Amino acid sequence: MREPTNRVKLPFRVSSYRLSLAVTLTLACVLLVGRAESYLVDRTRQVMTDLSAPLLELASRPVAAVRNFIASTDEYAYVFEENARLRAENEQLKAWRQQALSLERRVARFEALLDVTVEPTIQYATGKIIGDSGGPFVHAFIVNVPQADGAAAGQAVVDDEGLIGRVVSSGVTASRVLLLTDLNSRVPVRVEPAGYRAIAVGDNSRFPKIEFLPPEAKLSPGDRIVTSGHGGLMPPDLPVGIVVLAGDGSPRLQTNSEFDRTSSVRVLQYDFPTKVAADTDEAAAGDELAEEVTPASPAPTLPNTEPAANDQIVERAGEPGAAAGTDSASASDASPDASSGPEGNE
Amino acid sequence: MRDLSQAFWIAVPVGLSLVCILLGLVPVGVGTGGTIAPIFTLTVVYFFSVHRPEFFPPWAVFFIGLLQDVMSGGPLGLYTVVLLSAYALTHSQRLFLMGRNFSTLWVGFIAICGIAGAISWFGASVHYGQAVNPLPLLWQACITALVYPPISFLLTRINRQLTVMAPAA
Repeated sequence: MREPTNRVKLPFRVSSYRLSLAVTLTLACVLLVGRAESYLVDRTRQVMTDLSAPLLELASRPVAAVRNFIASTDEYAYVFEENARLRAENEQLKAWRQQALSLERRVARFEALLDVTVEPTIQYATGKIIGDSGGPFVHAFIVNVPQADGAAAGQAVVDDEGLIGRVVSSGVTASRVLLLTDLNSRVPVRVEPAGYRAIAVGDNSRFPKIEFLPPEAKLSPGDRIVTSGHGGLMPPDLPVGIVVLAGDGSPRLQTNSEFDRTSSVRVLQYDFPTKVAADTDEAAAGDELAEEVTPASPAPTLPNTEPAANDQIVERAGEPGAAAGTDSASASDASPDASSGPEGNE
Repeated sequence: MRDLSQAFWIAVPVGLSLVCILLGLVPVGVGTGGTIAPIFTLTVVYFFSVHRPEFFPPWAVFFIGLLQDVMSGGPLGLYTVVLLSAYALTHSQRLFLMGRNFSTLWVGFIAICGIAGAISWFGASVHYGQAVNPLPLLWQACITALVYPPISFLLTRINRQLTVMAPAA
């Protein structure tokens, strides 16, 4: 009885299959060519990320355990060499520390005399990388820092080596981070020591391009690249990487961070100082104020993200001098986002 | 009644594909040459379009591709086009591939990976308006081809259970 039924249904099935395939394939092509990126797609993407975050977090645990095991095996293998290297480095750093303390005192005194607005308080939330876009065209991480902990689009994300990217969307359980190497990444930077301003432009390669340099700029391999802070979303002077030269001689950015080895990151909630302190008591601009300002004004340093490996921790980078000295920590949600590039796929 | 039963069994490849999408998002990183993951869903699409296409209709493949596009953050429609094209190609060669040994099926999958990579490169280049770097795609095609044997091993066992519970149409 079954055979005749199937025989009758077969032509219908074949035509139904062909029609279904043609319609879905056409629709997919339209979506691709038409660049169907909209607010709805972004929201759907974030909702799906939030829904999958608990599962991804669970799945990333054994992976993290294996990575830690491999890393610790590596450390055991090179423990003596590493020890010798660290001793030598420590000697150098002691000398640098003395120099830094001396310079810090001088800078604090100058700032107090010049009535400089000190850096605003930087709050941050630490989280783990629970997901990775895994695609050849998208370089993005999913990080378990939710909106409730202050994560918002545009904020800088660092690991213990330097800047890795910025938040492009945040939700109730997780945020998506666009890496510096992504095709859509644009970050305003400064090349030290000359201080040239430029934009680090991701192109899906391991080494982002350095564009919009002044015509007279001459870069050498090894020059440090830090964030310029232009646009107001990222703090200035965050280490990003160094200059390397491509085969054609064009300058490229070699990031300090190795993205495929990063596991914990920190989302910096930086408030651009829009209000300048109106009056500062000149009488207090002496040594006393200098002492007060000193801890508040160093360039943002990268906190070690590794100890926060267990669960997500929200911490406050307390800068008592900044809070007490000026009113500069006010929010600046109106500042334009110069660090944002076209967010075609994020 | 049979249609209802088939609709129920569609959940098997769709569910497996969802697991594959999540698997592709797990940050494996070290040892895989960066952050590029294999297209795990391609293995499921290939396997079911050879062995059980009645359980994996084009609209279900479309849904999986779209979901992968959304989850990966890539150009919307890219994985959808890639998976549907791979599905259509495999389905057109189904009579040749059915009942063949593992090696032949693997060679077929390697060919599908290459074609999927080429389609992906073309689609991404059209989407971004510039010729994108093909090397990451080549790498992705290679590692996708390499993950086929273990996944195929699991899918074969699942298919055996399906054969018992839901005979072919």
